[in-house]
Parts: sequence; structure tokens; C-alpha cells
Amino acid sequence: MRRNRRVKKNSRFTSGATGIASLIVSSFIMLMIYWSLDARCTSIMREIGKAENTMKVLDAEHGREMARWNGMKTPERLDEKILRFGLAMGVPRADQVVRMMSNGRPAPGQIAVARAQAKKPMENMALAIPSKPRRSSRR
Amino acid sequence: MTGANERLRFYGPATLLIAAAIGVGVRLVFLHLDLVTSKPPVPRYEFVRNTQGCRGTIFSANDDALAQTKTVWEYHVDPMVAAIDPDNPKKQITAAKRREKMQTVAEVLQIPLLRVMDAYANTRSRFVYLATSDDDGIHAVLSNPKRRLNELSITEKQVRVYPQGRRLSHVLGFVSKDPTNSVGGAGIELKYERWLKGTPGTVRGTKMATGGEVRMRRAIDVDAKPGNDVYLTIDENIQYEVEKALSAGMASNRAERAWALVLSVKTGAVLAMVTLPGYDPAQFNKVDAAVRINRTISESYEPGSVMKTITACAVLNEGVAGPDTMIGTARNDPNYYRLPGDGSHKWEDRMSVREALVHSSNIVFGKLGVDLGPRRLWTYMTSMGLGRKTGIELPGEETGIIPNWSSWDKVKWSRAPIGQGVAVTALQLANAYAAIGNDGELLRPYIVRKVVDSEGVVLYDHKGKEVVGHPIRPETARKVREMMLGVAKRGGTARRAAVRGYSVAGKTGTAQMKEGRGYSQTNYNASFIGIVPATRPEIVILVTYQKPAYCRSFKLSQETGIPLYNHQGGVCAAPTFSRIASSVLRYLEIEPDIPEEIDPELYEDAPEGENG
Repeated sequence: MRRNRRVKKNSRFTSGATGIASLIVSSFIMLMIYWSLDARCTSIMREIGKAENTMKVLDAEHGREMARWNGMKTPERLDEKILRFGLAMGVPRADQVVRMMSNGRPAPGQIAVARAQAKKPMENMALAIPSKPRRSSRR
Repeated sequence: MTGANERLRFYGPATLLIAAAIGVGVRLVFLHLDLVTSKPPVPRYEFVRNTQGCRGTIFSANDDALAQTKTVWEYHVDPMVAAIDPDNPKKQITAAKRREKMQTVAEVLQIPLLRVMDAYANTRSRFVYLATSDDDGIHAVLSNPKRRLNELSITEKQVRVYPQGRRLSHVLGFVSKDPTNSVGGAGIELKYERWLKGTPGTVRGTKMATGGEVRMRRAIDVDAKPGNDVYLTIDENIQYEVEKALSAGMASNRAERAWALVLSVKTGAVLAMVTLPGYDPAQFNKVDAAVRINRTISESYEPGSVMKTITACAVLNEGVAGPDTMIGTARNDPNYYRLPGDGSHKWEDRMSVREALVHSSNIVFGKLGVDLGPRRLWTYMTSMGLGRKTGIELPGEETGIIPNWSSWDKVKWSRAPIGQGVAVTALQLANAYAAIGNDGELLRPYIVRKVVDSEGVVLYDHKGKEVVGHPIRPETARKVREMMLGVAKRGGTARRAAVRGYSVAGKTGTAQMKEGRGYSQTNYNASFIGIVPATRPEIVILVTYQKPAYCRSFKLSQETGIPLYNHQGGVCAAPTFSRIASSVLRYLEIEPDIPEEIDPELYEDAPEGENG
């Protein structure tokens, strides 16, 4: 007995429609992807613009701070501060200066140390503080 | 039929949608790959922005900034906008609100309220200047939208600042006030304009309709490049000490002008260069042009007796005489034509060349000059750098005037040796003395030690000394220095130039200034030049006062308080030299070569020659 088969009248139509629908959906998805990438690009663009502006502002601020600092440490200002606190400081002579190294010993070759050593030989390697010179009895 | 309709209803819109998607896709491809060939008729979304490169900084020997550029804000007010209520643009602002705004602006900018009120009331302009400030806090307050100060416009601009103020104004120079194109007008700012000037940058791009930039569509993106930095040999601490001493001297001597130089003998580096009166480089347009002249290089003047040292060098080097050669002191010597006088000094019949230098005898040096001959004297003068530009890296250097010896008349044969009838600059003189201190080696003086670009690359480096020549032998230089020691001792013309603990080889100069076709009787250039320490020279210091107060009578001195013979170098310039030398030698940590003068007790038992 022949079986009655129901044949869909529009079967070819249906398979075509599925393909087109897939195409439309995938176009839509690509559009969404494009839109999100574009939004990200725009956002990065804005961040770059902000960073450029920030750098410009910071550069300018740095310049102003440097100018302010340089104006503060002029010799005149330092002198004024020294006098204000009654320090009456002056620059020492070369033979009044003793430079110390980090190990606590005087740096080699200093005239002040050499003269102190000539007057009183050092017992150890520590800095020998020169004693008060004795007055000559031949006066 | 029904099936056909369904198909049509489906395929129709679907085809349209697909076509639209393809169309949009193709357009996007074209736009992203920039394949669009036709440009829009009006490029209203394109922009060009020029940026100014910051001017380079000038540094001292200690790498401290002497001149730099910073950004400040200028505040202007638009009186028309100020009259409108910010909360209701269609209404006029109330008097109370207006006053409150003006008070806020005055308080924040720290300017008088009256000035703000005048600016707000100035309806003739829509851009009235209020103040300039570099304070970030002030800018933050006034640019805050919540303050509703819509009438204020804040402009950013670059200004040149000089942290040292008036100091070094003649060395640094100044720049023009045009913020978009500042140009050096004098000094280092002018000479090194090409190096200091920044390179402008350009940005050419496209904006969106909303105003934001399409960053990836930038066609030109060239960053502005800051100018190069110039490093000087000037030490601002030494400069300060010199200015302080010279200023005090100028006040006490009542001189019209003064200048001073400190040079390194070993290298030729200029450690200090001062001209007084000074000026504020930021206000250069408010001072007379004569004040802006750097007198150490741009003023040629007759040096007077300081020239005798050069003559002594020539005489000894040529073997015409020695330090102890005795010369007659009679002015009316028939062997010589019209010798210069020595004023009221009464010498012995004869004196040695050494004594003549110490006492500054015009007669003896006039005779020596004649004996030497004009050709040889001129040769020594020019070979020691006098009458020639030194080549220092500053604009406006004068050559000086040392006429060729063949044009000298017989009077000049005895005048040129004592510094009359010739003109030199202070730098030439100091440099010649530095050659005497440097055992006869003449160096080129310099003031710029290096130039560095914004990335730290060294574009120019002076790298030590530059030898110009050897005009005199080392032994001649040593003999002349030894002769000069007596000038700053008892019996010399400049006892006041002595520096405790250090030997000084110096010479005074008291030169009449030209007046018409002759010389003035009251206007002098009083100088002292010294080499310290004389036994192992390190620096040369030159001090000159122009037109110090003239006083030849004791009575006048008592009445006015002006020191007797104030116009003379030994009275006027020598004390300033001593003060400068004393501070500079300490600052440079140059050891005393006569330490027993400082602390005799410490050296009482010292073996002989230990400190020689």
C-alpha cells in the first residue's frame, strides 16, 4: 500500500529563508561587534587626549615649581635667612675645613689634619683634634 | 498564488536589509581604509594647532638655573559679561552680587579692590587686564565653574624668569616680551638665541561633529621641542660676593659706575662678571640703554698705571732691564722727549724697576718705554691680548684702541707704557694679568662651558683651556709677579689690597678720563688688578670704579667725609679687591700661602720653609 506522504508545499522556500535569516543575524552580530570596537576606540582616543592634557599641565606645574625653588635658594635669600636667625656664619678658610669620610676618618691629604698631626702625633687612626698651641717661653 | 505572496513578503525586506548591510559594510571599509577620494567641500572638521617649544634654561657653574621659562596665567575680565546675572542670563546682575564677585576676585588675586572695580567698570573694552599669577591655587579657585565667574578669561602664557633678579643682568641679557615669539635682546640670551629657542610643533587633525578629535585621523603630529640648555662658568655665589663688595664700594666712593671680573688663571673661565648699576632683566624696557651695557667687555678706557705691569713684562722679557736695574728719576732728562710727570712725589735720584712698579713712577716707566721702543712695546701689548677681541661668548665686545706703533708720535712713546693714549677693555686687562699668573701662557677667556639638548645630549663642551700664545717666558712672569708683591705691602700704592694669609701680586691704576681734546682733572677711572695667591696663582680679580668722588684736600675730606685721594686706585679700588679676594679664596678653598699671618702661634716652631 502506498503511504501517503505529506509533502510541504514550501519546503524549498523554508530552507532559503533559514539561510537568509542566518545572514541577517550574522550581519547584526557583526554590526554589534563593530559598534563595540568603535566605542572602545573612541574611549581610548579620549583617554589619550586627557593624558596629553595632563602631561601638559604637569610639565607647566613642574616648570613653575622649579622657578619657585630656584628663586628661594639664591645667595641673597640664604644670607637673609642666616642673618635673620643671628647665625653670623661665614665661609671657612681652606685650612679650617676638615672633610670626613663615611668610615669616620678624615679624608687624606688635608692640610688642617696634617698640621694637627705635626703638632701632636696620632695614637690611633681617629681624627686627632689639635691641642691648643703652647705659648713660647721666649717672649 | 499565496505561496508567491509569502515569498515576496519575505524575500523583499530581506533583500533590502542585506543590501543595506552590504552598503554600510562597504562604506565602513572605504572610510577606515581612507579610500574616499572626494574631500568635503568645506573642511570644517579639520583643525591645525601650533604649539610653542619652551625656551632653554641658562645654568650657572653649580647647575642652578639663572634664566628659565615658566607658564603663568593672565586674568582678564569682560565687563559686559560681568553685568549679566550668571543664574539668569536675561537679567542684569544685582549690585550686591557684583560687589561680592569683585571682592572674591580681589581677595583671590591679592590685588586692590579698587583696581578690580575699575576693570569691571571699564565698558570701553571687553578684555580688561586684571593680574598675572603663577599660583596653582589661585587658578584652581578662579577656574572653578561653581564660582560662576563667567566674566573672567584665563589665558596661559610663557614668561622668562630670572631667579637671581638683577644679578647677572649684563651677562644673561633679556628676551622680548612677545609670548608667541620671544627673542633674545642682549647677553647670552642674544648670543645663544639659536640654541635656546625652542622648535614649534604642529598638530593637524580631524574633529568629530561633537567636537572631540578623531585621534587616528591625525595627519601631522610633530611635538614641540624645548630649546637647548646653556651652562655657564659663572658661579652665582662668587658673583653675589663680588656684587655685594662692589655695591658697597660704589656707595662709599660715590662712583658713577663700577665693574669687576674674576677669572680663573689656570683655565680662563670667567667666575664672575659684574657691572653696576645693574637692572632687572624682566624690566629691561624701563631702563636707559646706557645702563644695559656690559662695561667689562663693551667699555674701552685708558687703563692708566695698570699698563706698567705689561711694560715691565716687555722690558724684562727683552732684557732691556732687570728688576733691580737702577733708572734715573729726573723728568728733565735730555735723552728723553717730554717725559710724563710724577705729580708731587719726590723720589731719590735713582730707583730700581721693582721700586718704580711698587711706587708707580711715570717717569721711570716712560723712560723704560722709550728704551724698549714703540715697536716692541706694541708687539707685547697686542700679543698679550690688548687691543684685540678675546672672543668671549657675549655680544658687543669692543676691540679697544692700540694704534699701530708706526703711527705713534714721540710723546706717545713715553705715554703708552703708562697706559695713556691707548684704550683697552677690562676683560683684556684681566686676561693679560692672568697670563702673567699662568707663567706666560695666554688663554682665551670663556663663559659658556657646555650646551645640552632637552634629551641630555651634549651639543657643545668647552673641555678645558684654550691656549692663545706664550707672549712672555715663564721666568719673566715669575719675576714680574715677585715685583708686584710690593704693591700691596707697606710702601706700595695699595696696602689696602692686602689679604691676610695670602700673597697678592697687584697693580693700581688711576687714569684720567678723556674730556674734549684733553683730560679731565676730576674724573678718573680708579682700578686695581691682582693675582692671588701670588706664589701659586689661582684667580685674577679686577676692580674698576668710574668717576669716584674726587677729593684732594684734607679740609674737603673732613667736610664731606670722602676719603682723601679717593679717586686713586689704591684708596678706592684696592679695599674692594681685598674684600672680594678674601671671600672668593675661602669659597674656592684655596689654601693660604702665608698661613703664619693667620695663626702665628701655630707656626711658631714650624721648620723654616714648611709654609713657603
